[in-house]
Amino acid sequence: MMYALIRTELYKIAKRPRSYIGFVAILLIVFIIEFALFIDGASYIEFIFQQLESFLSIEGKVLNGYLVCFIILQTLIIQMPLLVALVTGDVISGEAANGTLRLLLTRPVSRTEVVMAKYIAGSFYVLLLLLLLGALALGGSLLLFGEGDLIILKSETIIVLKSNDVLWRFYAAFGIAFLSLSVVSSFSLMLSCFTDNSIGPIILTMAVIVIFTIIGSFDLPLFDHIKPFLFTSYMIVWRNMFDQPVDWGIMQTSILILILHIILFLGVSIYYFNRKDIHT
Amino acid sequence: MNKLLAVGLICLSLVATTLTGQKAEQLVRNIQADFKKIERYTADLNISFDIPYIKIDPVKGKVYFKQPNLFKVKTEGIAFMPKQNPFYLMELISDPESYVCIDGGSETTPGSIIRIIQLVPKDHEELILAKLWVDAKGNRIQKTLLTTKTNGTIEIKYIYDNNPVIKLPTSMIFGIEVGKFKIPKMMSADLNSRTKQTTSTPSLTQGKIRLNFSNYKLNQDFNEKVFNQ
Repeated sequence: MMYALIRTELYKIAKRPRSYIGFVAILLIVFIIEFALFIDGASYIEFIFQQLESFLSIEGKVLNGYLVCFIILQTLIIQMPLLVALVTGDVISGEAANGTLRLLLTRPVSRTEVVMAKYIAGSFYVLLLLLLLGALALGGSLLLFGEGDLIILKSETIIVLKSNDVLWRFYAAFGIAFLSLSVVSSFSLMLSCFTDNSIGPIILTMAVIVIFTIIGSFDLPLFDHIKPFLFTSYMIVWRNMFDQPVDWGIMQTSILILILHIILFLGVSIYYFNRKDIHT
Repeated sequence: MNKLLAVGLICLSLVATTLTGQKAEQLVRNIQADFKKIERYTADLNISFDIPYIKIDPVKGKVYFKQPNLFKVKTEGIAFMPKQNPFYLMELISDPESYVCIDGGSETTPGSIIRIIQLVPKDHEELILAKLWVDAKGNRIQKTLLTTKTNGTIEIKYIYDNNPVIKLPTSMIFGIEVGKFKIPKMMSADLNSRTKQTTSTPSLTQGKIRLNFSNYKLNQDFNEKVFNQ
């Protein structure tokens, strides 16, 4: 029964035109960045390294597929959660607004199963988005720019990773990105349970992510006390996969916190939805 | 009598200065003569780095050289190299008329006497001063300190093996000055990092790049297109 529910939810996602906005947006962003770097990447690299090149000269192929993929992932930090929220933010509230929720719940399935089916379908959508991103950003960039060592720019440090030590980090980064986006999808699902307004949870999820990200990127000491409590602080932990050496302690903690967030948001969703009065 | 003694001492010191100056020049010429015998060479290269703010593993590569000053390092990946060409010095000493040689005395180390020689270029596009520490017995440069117009000062230490045929170093250690750099947050992978408070003037810190040479091939042909790549 659960399988049939998930299939129905996937069908609903596939039928909505807005589900394709994410794919188109990723396609466009990746294509624009790859095209721009292919045409004028050398001057971009020169601009980034101009301070360093006053002391040292850099030998080797700096602009390569791995660096381009990293730049693309870096650029999509804020956009990807918004694209996910666009689809997962109204999975329940949208049905409530359309008046199909009551009909759905007349089927011989528990409300918990309904919430879980919607979450799993949302996660499948997230997975598809990431697979497309991986194919275009990693596969496409490698095809266009070739392999090479990866230079990771930190604000005051530079890390150079050997080309044969990079690919597994990207796979792990995509895995962590999936977990991070699942947090967003579970968060928006939770908000979706609270209201019968279709657009509200989507806007609220986007607003929360934008506000949390802004707080996370500010250097104010006051915000240092708040940052550990923002789930967005752990969503960018995929970049730590490119540290040398990887701090597995931070990775484990962050992954655990992300999983706990998913459990918490799903738990609240199930708890609330099971007690919710369904009027439509 | 005292006047005579004073004049004598001055003359003696002038003669001594001239003699030691000539010796220093001769030493530089000997080094140049030895180096001139190598018209070209290639060698395998292993570069290791100890540069502040940069984490990078050792890199393998190959080095190509052709007289008078064509020099190319090809690496199997990304590497950071000193901005200064290490062969500025050889280019300078190839023409004895292009510099003034000043004897800076000597240092005694176990088993050898190290002569300190300063070369002041008369008209060089980049080099202001070159200070050399030369093993007088083996005619080998042990250390150089090159002061350049645009790229600061660079120290190069030379390490040799006991091969009497190949008078080229097995290792060159570049001491470089690296200033603190900052990459804009939107370009770095550090959105959540705290920016450390820094003083208004960026401080320079010392870094090292070590080039280990092996498998020298002297005066053997290679494709010179490598210098244009």
